Amino acid sequence: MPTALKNVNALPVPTWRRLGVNGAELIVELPEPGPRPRSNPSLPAGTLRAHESVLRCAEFRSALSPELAAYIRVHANCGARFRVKRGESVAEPVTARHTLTADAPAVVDNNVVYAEAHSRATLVLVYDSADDTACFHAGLTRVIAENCAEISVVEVQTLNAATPHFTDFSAVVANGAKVSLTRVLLGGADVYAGTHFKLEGGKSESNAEVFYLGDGERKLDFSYIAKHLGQHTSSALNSAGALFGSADKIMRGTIDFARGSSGSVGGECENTLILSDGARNRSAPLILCGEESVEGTHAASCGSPDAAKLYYLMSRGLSEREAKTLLVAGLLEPSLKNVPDEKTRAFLREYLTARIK
Amino acid sequence: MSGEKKSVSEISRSVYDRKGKAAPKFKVQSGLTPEIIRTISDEKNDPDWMREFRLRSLEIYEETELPAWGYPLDALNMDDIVTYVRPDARQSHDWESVPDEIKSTFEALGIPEAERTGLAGVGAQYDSEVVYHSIKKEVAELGVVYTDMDSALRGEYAGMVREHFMKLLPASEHKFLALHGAVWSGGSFVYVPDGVEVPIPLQSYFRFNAAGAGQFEHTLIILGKGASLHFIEGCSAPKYNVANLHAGCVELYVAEGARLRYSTIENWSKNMYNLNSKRATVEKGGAIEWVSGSFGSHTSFLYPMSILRGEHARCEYTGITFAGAGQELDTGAQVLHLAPNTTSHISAKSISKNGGKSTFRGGVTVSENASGSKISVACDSLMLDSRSRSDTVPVMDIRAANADVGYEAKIGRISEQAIYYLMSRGLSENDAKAMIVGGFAEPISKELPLEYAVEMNRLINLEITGN
Repeated sequence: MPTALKNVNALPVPTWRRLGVNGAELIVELPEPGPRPRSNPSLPAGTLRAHESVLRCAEFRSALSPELAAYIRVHANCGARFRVKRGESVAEPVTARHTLTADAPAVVDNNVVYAEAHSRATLVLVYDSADDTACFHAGLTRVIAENCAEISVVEVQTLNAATPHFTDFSAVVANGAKVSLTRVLLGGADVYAGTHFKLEGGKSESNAEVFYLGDGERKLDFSYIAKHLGQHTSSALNSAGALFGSADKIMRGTIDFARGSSGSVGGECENTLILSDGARNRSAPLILCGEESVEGTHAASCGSPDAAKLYYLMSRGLSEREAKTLLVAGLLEPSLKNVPDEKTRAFLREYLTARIK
Repeated sequence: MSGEKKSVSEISRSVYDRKGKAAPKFKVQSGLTPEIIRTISDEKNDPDWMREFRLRSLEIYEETELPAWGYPLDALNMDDIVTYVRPDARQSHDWESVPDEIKSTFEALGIPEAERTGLAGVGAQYDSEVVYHSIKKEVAELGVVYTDMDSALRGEYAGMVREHFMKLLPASEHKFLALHGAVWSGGSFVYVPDGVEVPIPLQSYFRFNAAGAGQFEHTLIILGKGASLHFIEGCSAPKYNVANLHAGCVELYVAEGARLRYSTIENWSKNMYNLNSKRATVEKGGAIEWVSGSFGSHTSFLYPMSILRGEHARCEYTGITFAGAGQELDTGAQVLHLAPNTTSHISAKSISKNGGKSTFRGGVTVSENASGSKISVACDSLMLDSRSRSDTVPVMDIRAANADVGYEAKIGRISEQAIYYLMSRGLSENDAKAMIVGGFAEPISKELPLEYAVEMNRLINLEITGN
């Protein structure tokens, strides 16, 4: 049944309506997904299966859409839900691979990570398509990192061009804990991604690396909120990508320093290459500040590839297309550093090159 | 320095807070009705088209919602606002003919002196009407027209006014432009013919005296090809315990190769709702430069827009906002790049203190046709305490492949090291802070004529030290 979603990826502080960045309004066919075989990943030593109820001790906020998050919680047909035992450093990543097929065309995954104090783990979420069948994906990932825990979540998406991708990430981070999110969003039909970090504890940290590729008539709609509550907290967002065809991308990035977050530092860096005349790039980089002794910075650059770099590469024998491909691939590398296995990294490099070609 | 005031909650604004005692000659009832609009139109002896325009604008006002963004405007009740107040003075070209009460107010503000020493012309508005307007003979002989809007509306330039009036900023754009269209009064009209460069600035000063009233002046400036002008706008009002409203409108037409600098030092009293609209359209090779200092008002919404229509047109915005106790200042700039190789540079600074709230709101749009355009946006915000707020809400909408866009923003506090250094050289803490804030504001003050830069630095000192 078609469902109207309002204020998807809503800007925390609205601005002029004509700019179209206050939030997306969508009509989405939200399926009732069937069960998926082998839907939950195996867990390495040091982790335990967990129920969603472990999250009751924290208050999460969906940056993407509270309605969609509620749908996912009710209709999830898979998900990685685990807790990491206190003091455990789990070297092997928990990997959940979701290949969408005509037989099981809907993946609605509800992922839960509860990291006890001083623990460390990585969750890898892989979404791809077996063929060209139009499928559906909506995922919700919530993380609690207790004192001094370190959690890394890596999301890799190479869905086919007929499958929409909704992904919602939120984390609550305690004293001295650190949560990282890496998103490599290369495929899918329209892509909607929300990110919310709540830095509650003193000296807590968040780090987000995002790479995206927009082509055809794809819509890429992102929101990122880093809410600084504790003292001496730190957040960073590095977002990079390339737009071709008549792709339309919006990035809403907000660093929010609440009163009491003294000594905190927040930074956002955005780099977008526009490689076609029809592409559109919108950025709304907000800094909200209710505390005196903080430091918020934002830097963005957007446009065609640097002429000097292109000239240099072409003078070394590359065609213009090859030179541009190399520059786009260069933007992917910082995100790939967080992808734990070389096989996936190699696959993503090849996939990107093929897509650009 | 021992006698220096340490509290800035009640700063001395004696020059600005001077309240004129002369009763107005006429004023309409508070509120907004078609009858009130017709009365204003009769008082001003409007041509028929303007009377109809006012009534249509009132309809639009009634149909339009309040903005869904920005600080709340709930405390502004139009039923309590008197939209037209005619002072007991005829417009004059000679300060001696201006009634003493009004003249002494402008003298205290330094307007006649500024005219003598460094202005090509002055317009002075008191409440809803212009009471003084003059232009230097040698500038008038160049063909420059500088007159009040009422005279322009009925005189030789009536056709030009009708062709341009509220065409850049239509009444349908937002509620307070519709309000302006309905009740506007006063303001200045400037026309600079092709190729004429006005060597020294023109200034219009808007003084608001009546309590519980509104001021709605309209400024229309048209520059011919290759012309150049520096126009200065000043405004102030005494403080009352009731809300006052300013909803002016500034429309600027910059022809091919022309250059216009529009400077504003806004120092409204802190009971004022300043909901002003400004827009410039710039043709091929032309330039608009906005220099803006916002110090006063209770609530401000002010975002000058530059529409770069012709190739190689350019725009610069340099602005500073100082939000003190009880103030909510939402300011910024908008640029629309519609032609190739256009350039815009926005540099916005804000300072928040004593619970003041400031927001930088920006919008830069680069259309499909604006290839080769270059945009740079820089926002710096200084928080002087943790009771205050400072937000930046910029948006960039880029639709051209080979545009070059750079944006950077920074929010932070005054470096304790820098304060310590200055204090170790004998400055008090407040003086050290004032010096650092003065340095922070220096890129704006250096863009102003010397007298205005001094005035701006004085306002900063007032806000920081209370002296």
